[in-house]
Amino acid sequence: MQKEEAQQRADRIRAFREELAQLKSDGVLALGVAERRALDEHHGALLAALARQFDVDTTGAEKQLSLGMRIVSFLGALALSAAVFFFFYRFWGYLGTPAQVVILLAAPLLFTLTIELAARREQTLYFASLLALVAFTCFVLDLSVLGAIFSITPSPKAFLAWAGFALLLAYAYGLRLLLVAGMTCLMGYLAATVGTWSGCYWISFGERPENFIAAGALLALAPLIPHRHHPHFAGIYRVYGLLAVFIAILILANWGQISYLPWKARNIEYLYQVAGFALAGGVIWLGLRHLWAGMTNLGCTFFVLYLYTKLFDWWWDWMPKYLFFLLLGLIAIGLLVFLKRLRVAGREVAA
Amino acid sequence: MRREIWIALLLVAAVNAVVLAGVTRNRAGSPEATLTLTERELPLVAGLDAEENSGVSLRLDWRPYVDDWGWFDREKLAGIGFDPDLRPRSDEKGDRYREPLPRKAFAVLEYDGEAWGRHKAKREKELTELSAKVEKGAMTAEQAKNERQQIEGDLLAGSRLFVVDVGRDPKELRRRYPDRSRYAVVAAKVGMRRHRPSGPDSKAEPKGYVADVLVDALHVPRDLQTTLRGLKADQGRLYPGMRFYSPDRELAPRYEVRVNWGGKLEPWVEEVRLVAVPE
Repeated sequence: MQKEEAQQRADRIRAFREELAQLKSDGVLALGVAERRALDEHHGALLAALARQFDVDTTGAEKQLSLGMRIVSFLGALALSAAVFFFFYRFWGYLGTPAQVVILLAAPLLFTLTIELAARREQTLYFASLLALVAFTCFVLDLSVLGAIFSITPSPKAFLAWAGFALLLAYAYGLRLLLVAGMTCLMGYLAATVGTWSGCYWISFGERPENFIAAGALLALAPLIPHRHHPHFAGIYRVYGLLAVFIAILILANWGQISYLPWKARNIEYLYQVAGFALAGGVIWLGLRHLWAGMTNLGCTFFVLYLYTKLFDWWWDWMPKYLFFLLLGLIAIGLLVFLKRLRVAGREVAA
Repeated sequence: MRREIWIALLLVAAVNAVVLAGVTRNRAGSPEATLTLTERELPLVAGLDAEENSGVSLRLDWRPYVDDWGWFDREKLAGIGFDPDLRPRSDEKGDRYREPLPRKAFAVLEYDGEAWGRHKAKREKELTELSAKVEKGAMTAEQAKNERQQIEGDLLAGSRLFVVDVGRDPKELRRRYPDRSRYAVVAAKVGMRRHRPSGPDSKAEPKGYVADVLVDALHVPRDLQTTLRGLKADQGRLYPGMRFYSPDRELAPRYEVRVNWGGKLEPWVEEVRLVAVPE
């Protein structure tokens, strides 16, 4: 059992207990004293075992506190990473080249080892997550500064090395933050590689958004590889990859002149506008079909965003502003009615 | 310890080993080029009095051309992989068209050579013409004074490092420019744009340009920093327009730097030496 599954079980027990209390209060169901005691003992032992083994949250208050701790851990990791960065730049000029190289190499190695120590002492992994981000920062600093010290020609392969490191840490401990860092670097590497296929120098990869469509699509397809040990990673890959694709399409739907396609800019914009709506619709459908909440929300958000940018193009200049915003509001209400009907239809099918 | 952590540790060590092996390979054997440049071509970037960054770096200040990119013609563009016959799309009017993305190529930097000589002669001619322009009323005395200051700044403090050629093959470029103490072959980012020369009947032609030299920052190792740290921090770096802001500052380079370019065309600082600033 993974920590996520243990937490889901603990949440189910908590919900079951609340519902049981409600049923008793409504006079629908009341368990006998012996049954009640047996159930309480079973659930109590189970929760204690889950808390001991996985450090799961067993009450609502614990769960709220956990969220706060995750935020604090993230902010702490950012602050510590900045501290490492500025500390090195403050003193590196006073060090000889061999000392600089040794420090740059040792820092990511040492912080990586401390992650393992922290993970052994604390199962919630707040400290491990914090230290993992600092280790990742040290590795980024390592290659960047080596490049500066030895005047090395920039290479997209650095993104691949950073991505590999971050993903290894993410998979070792199931750390979402490191997964996002790894995906970002991998996205940079893939987009740069796709960009070089047209012959351009890799640093210019950001000037053609289509590079990100290819890279984002590859990331969104990563869950095709089974994630048995980290099932929650699959959703993150899908949402992150599709987010990149949606943003690239949004840009191309408004600035066709930066596309690879050799057509008129206006025609390219039309193409991506249609593609954007089709993709958003498809993602909503896929999300509903497979119960992927993140994808449904992403699809809905970009469907509305594409629609609003189109309406802005058509109406903003010639329509009074109050009327423009009134129409946006009415369209939002229309979409709500449509989604509500879709929801009811889904419920009827399920029944 | 988890298997992924072992692999992560190995990855860090392996990537560092590959990087350092590349550095060793670059610096092995005799340098590909050695140029002795001055503060004019290698101004200080930061580090003298910057509290947050104790490092000392120099920036390679190169000039793209003397008059225009006339020599970076269709033939050279095609050699680098551009399509010089690229036509505007039907919705792109006149000379405007979507520029192709820059490519990687190699550029030849000439130090204190023919390109600088032509540039210098041109600027000196402009200097001698200033008085005549004022007399003719084409320029006010104040404008002439500012222009004179600008030209003098350029002649005394401007970089003498010019891009004189580009190509896809660095060995071929070295064959054409064999003087390793005057010409450095460097990796560069080059682009293509449409250029219409002045004149009513002129036709737009594709022209190349060097957008960037890929490695233009040089870190100064600690044992060579002493010379630079000794310079007065309040005087800052040398640049052609500095007389506008520091009228008392002597427009003369304060140091010389011997820079080597290795087998991978990556530079490093070999020696830093102070030079006497004329009184």
